[in-house]
Amino acid sequence: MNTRNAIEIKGLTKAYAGFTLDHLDLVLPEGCIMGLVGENGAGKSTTIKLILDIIHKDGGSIKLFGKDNGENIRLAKEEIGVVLDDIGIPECLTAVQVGNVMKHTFKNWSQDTYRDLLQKLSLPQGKPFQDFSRGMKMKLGFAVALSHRAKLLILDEPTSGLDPVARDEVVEILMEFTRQEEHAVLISSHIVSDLEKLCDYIAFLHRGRLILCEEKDRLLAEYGLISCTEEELHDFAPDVVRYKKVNPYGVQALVARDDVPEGIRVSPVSIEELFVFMAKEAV
Amino acid sequence: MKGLLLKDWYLMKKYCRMYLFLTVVFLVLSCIKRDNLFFSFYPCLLCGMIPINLLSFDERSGWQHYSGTLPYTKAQIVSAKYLMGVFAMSAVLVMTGVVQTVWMCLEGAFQPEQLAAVLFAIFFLSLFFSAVCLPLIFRFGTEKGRVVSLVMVCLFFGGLSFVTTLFAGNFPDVSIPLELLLAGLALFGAGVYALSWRLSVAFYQKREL
Repeated sequence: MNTRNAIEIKGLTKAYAGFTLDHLDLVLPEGCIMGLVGENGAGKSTTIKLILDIIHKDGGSIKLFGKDNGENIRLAKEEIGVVLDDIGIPECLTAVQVGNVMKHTFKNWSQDTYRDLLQKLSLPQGKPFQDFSRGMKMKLGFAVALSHRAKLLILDEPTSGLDPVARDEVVEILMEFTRQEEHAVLISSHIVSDLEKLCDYIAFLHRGRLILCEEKDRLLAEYGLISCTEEELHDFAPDVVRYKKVNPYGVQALVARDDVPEGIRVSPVSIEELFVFMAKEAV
Repeated sequence: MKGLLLKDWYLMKKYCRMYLFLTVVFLVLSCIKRDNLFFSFYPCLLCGMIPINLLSFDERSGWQHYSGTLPYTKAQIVSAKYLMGVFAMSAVLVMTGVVQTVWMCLEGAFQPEQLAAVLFAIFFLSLFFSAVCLPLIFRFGTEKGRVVSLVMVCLFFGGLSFVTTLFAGNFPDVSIPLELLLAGLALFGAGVYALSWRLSVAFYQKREL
């Protein structure tokens, strides 16, 4: 079976005063979840805005489901569900009113799906959005994004500010969404632990540059951590140690597992640790 | 675009109730104090402010960003605000028409020319205020846009006052009936509103949110 790419980005560039998103290349195949990781100001939201054609690119190309996003972005947006960090639903609207607005917004809007989701997520129908908790607001954002038969979900910091229970619920929603093969998710976050649970691919953005884009399992299999003294580290071949962090008790180093001599204990590395290493070293 | 209009309708119902109340009060006062035009024309400024306030609510709630993720063009987003402006103006026009007609009939002096003149003036004023302000708000955002548009409105009325003073008593004697003059002004207002819409679409398409 041929796998289409939900998102295909080549050489994407956008320059602001003091920040440049620099020749970003990114591919998200259908059926996959990609985590866009980066510190605040790394360019995650800029990338998402460019994908959705909310801001204009300076260079490069973006394809959504094989079509240039400049061609007919309106049609493409029918197939995209978006949840933003600040949601963006007007404060005075109730969940029912939001449903009415969206019914006239999306061609494929399913009022039944929306109603079921409101019930499943225990969202009150007649309460104004301003009286919702942060978790409830986010869940309403998800209910909207999932009620128009979207094939691609784009989520900008969906778990920030949520308590662990609400975060777990969000993770569950996403897991269910990706059970269908043609569904894809691009999720940006600086809470890397959430992405670790969910993602097939991890892309690290740092100061507007993509420093790594790889399958999560491959990353975890490829890299490991060793703890030793600085003298012991000198015995390794220079290309074994990718990044190192010196602390008062010795050195912690990120290494490529295959290059480490036998007999040395290599501990597993988390995506979060990997990101912190790379972000601190990559200037 | 129906979704955008419905959303604005919900917002208007929630936040602009006071405007409706004030409009009714001013309409009644305009009938009692016939010599004071302020009471007749103040509701125009109120309804001219409705699309501007709707934009301000959108900005505050983050809808401005969110609407960019929905299947709407920027032209549709702009057009919805202009249509809400037309809707508000039509409401004031109908209310004024009804109240003035009833009052004139009660007084036993129904004058269609006078009524037409008032309605044409309302039509012009309602559209003119938002026609000046909206492009600036779509270009600079509500905060900056409001200040710039206030300066523009002050400059316009200041200029008008200056010209009137300059030519005081020396205007050429043109015997055009007032209602015809105001009908022309209303037509001019509609033209300015259409031009303003085009300008706002162009500004908003270039604006990076």
